[in-house]
Amino acid sequence: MKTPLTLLFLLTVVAGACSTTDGRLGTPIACDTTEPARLILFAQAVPTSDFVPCVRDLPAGWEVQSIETRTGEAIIVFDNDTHDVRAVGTLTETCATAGEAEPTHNPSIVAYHASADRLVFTFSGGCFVLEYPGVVTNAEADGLATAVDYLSRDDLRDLTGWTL
Amino acid sequence: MVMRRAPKAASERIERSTRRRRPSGEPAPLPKEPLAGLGWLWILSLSVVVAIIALLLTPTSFFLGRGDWWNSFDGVITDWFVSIRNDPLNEIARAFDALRTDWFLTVLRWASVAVLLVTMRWRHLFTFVVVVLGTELFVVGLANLLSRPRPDGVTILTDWAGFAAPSLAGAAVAVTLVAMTYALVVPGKWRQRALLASTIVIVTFALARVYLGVDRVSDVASGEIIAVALAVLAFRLITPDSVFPVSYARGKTAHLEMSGTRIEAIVVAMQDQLGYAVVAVEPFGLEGSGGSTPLRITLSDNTHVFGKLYANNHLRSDRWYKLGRTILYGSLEDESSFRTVRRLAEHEDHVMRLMRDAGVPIPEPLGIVELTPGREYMLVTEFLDGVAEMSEAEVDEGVVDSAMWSVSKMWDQGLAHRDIKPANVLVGRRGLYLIDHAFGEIRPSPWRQAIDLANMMLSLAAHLPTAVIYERARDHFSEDDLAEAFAATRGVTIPGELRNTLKAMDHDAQLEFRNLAPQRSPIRIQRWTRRRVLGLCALVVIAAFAVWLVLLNRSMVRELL
Repeated sequence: MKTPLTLLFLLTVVAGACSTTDGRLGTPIACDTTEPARLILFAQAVPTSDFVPCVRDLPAGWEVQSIETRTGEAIIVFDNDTHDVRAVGTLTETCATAGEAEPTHNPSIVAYHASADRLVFTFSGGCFVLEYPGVVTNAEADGLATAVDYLSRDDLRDLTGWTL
Repeated sequence: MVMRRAPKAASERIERSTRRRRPSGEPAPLPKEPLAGLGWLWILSLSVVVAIIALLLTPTSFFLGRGDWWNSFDGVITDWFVSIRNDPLNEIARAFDALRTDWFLTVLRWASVAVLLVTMRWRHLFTFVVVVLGTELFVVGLANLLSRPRPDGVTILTDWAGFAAPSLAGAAVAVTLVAMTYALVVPGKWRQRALLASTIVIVTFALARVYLGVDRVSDVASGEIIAVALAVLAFRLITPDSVFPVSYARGKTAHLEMSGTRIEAIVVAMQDQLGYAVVAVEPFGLEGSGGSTPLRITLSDNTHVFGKLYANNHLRSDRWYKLGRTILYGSLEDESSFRTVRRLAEHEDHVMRLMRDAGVPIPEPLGIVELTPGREYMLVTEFLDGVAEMSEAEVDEGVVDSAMWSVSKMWDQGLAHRDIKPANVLVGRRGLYLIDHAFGEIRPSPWRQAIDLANMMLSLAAHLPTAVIYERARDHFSEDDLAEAFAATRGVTIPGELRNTLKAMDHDAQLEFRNLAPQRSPIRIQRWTRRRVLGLCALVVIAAFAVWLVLLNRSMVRELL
């Protein structure tokens, strides 16, 4: 009786351990709001931000590897297995901008090509910085930036019923 | 000295009353209840929490609805805590919240690991590491599956990371404190006090988390219940106190705790199974015994019998010792572990009876008593009054004769003792006795018998010159036998206690015996076996698993606390 229970216990622990290896917060953060838990957590991480980043159709070869949230920041890690490179998008309350401001399809959001490997999107109460290694082409970087959409906090409130 | 037997066997001299057969269905003298009391409560708690989580996983948006009773319940509690917020309380709550910080938990855990390393409680160490790191990873996995955000509509007064339920912070603090309590604190009143103190800290920590608005009451409660349940179950299953008690007393740690329950069970079992009326049970000669718990048992007629208590921990200790020795040095010939403690007791009793029938001087075997079926047995023998271990006795040439005669009797009858050392040879007025026959072997290999002879001669060498012993030995053995004995002897074939005795001597007795005997090439004993290779591979796998668990925990858990 004891040996099977001990093995069961060890298996439970190992299974629990293995269940976390896919990423710190599990599945990707989609703009599809049928499962809005991660969007809510993003909104809670940066409570000043009027917008929450989410991911639509990624360029070929790219996927969301993991997302992380903690007080003051929410992070999306993109991964490209084909080229073995990663790009990181970070939502924070404030961030440094550089370069010329460029309008986006959303009038409340302004984009900056801060440097060759850094795109910055600012909006009321927050900003989203997309950093990618130099090997990523401009077209791919633009593709990634386009795949990231922004859901307004008001829309999220309406969809979920949360105060946020 | 001439060995003489008592006129009547001990089994005839010691008074017995009527025995009683335990009817079917009646519990054994010491029933097996590894999860008695709180253990079942924690299994129930864990089951309830896991069941609730499983239910909640089906509709993943359950946690997100505002109108359901679960969130309403959490909301009411959180709102109340928020309503009593003030600056002093904020500071107190933040102080308790600091218990989950990485540096604090790391200090506590490394301190615990250090204590367990120093006290060499490997089983507790393994359980501690696996349960602490594994529980955290398990909770992180569950939290990711549940995906419950932080409380809504509340200003969170402290840092946080990741999903809310089950609370990783609550689990980390709870599993650390409970695992430390079970791994480090001696069972009994100190364990109870430590558990009470841990409970107070865990509950206060939970209240602080709810007050700070970072966890809901169900978030932190579920995390803590899972953690405490896993810790309690792990320690009760892998290191039960009845078999692996935490002790800081000096000496061997394999001895069983002689609690009131166990003594009472011995009294009942001795009466029922062997017909002896016991009035007192006391540990006896613990320092010389690592493989069992030796007892002196006083009977109603004021005579004594000797009890040798065997439990699973003795069996496991023997198994691990042999496995460790195999990995380090290779297998000794014919060496295998017992699969059950019942077989161990039966084997020793059987060997003793064969030795007695062969005329080898041993204490009279009186029978086996079963305390817990399949788990705990006591071998009962005659108690030898007025004897001393060879290391403490006066040893003259008569004792050498008795010793050589005993070994030659075993050779003649096809028996081997396999653990001859000063502690297992008793010397008294009536002669010399061999004790501790657990490793005894029937029809051993000639090599095994040669080792017995060499170890007996080496044991005597602490008292008399090797030349005198050798000359006496020649009365019982041929020169070839003696040459074979010392050609077979190596460090690993000599029991640890005897090895230490030899090291303390100012001359090399082993070399002297070799020089006295005819020259013979050493007999090889170390060899690579499948068991040794598999043991080494298993060791590497376990080490890799431990490293993987630590690294995974560092990367997945630390930053979420």
